Amino acid sequence: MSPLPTRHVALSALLCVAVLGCALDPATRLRYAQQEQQRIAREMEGVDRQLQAQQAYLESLRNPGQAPRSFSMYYSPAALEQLASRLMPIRMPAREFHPQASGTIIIERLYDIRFVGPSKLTCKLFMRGENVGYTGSVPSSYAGQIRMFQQGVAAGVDVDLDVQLTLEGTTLGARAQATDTRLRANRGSRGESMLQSEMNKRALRASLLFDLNIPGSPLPPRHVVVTPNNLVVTYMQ
Amino acid sequence: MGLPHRHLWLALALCAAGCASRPARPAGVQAGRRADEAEARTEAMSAELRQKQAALQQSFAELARAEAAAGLSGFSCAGATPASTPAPGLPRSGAPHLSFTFRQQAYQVPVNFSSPRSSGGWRIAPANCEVRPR
Repeated sequence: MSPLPTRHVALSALLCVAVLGCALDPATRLRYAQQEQQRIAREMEGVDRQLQAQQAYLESLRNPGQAPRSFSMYYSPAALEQLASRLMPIRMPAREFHPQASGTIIIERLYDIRFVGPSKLTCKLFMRGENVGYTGSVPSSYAGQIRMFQQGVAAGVDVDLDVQLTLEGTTLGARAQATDTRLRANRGSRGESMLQSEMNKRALRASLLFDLNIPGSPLPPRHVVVTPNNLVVTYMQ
Repeated sequence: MGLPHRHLWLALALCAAGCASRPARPAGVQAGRRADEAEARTEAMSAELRQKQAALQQSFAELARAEAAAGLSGFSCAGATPASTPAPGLPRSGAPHLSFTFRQQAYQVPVNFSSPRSSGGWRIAPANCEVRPR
């Protein structure tokens, strides 16, 4: 059989599975549906908590005279940038970005923090490589490209980040994911997308966890609400 | 492209015939109905989730206006408590308000508050937030 008809038959079979659903037996469909329901239920629980916190905060803003006994701590984007600046520069082994990289990545700056959604902020990061090398074997035809990429990383990399916030008990989790990565020199989409994907898999894999308890305070942290102006942590019984 | 199309139709016909020729046993029919119901329930739950997410996003925009009206915007770091029902023992100057570990190093964010001012029904204390290794 020639390759073209074979491809068409495979495509048709796929169509058959997708459209008619005849390859999935009812037990499998039921199992998939139940798994999906569990995932949605978990997500719904988080959204319900956020809605409740948002509504309680909105109500207290409109009627402070009827607000419960509480204390709210406000962190603006400028405050968070200032806090982040105290951790800079951050020096990390380049292998935390790619298993076959040597040298050091230096994160110089985290800036342009914006609260963009009920549990999401965006920010930018600038980093550069110092003595970054590649320890894997490279065919001679690719050596030039690798060298260009290393020079690009040394010149500096701008990264756009999405940060998702979640509240578990009294711990605020912040999980960052790179959404755009740009070398300042020798730009190339293949190297940039490889760096971004490795960075998301490794250096940005874990959430940063913040304990919101104030030692000695009689009131525990109860709600975290993100507004376009502030990250608001409310302490109340 | 006569040949590929012929194969395409042949494959589709085989698929359809395969499906149609399955015996519709009562147990199979019942299981299929249960799967249909579960899928419909999943779709309903998805729709409800999307609706709630849209409500969250809408309130997010409203919060900016409500904060501005209450005088609770335009500062860097601050603490606020309702003037009529102040929180006991708060704010606590010098106490760490955030603690975290980053690259095996523990940090704290102690906060120092200035004298509070009244705004709307709130007592707002501007603050200075810092990061310090623990």
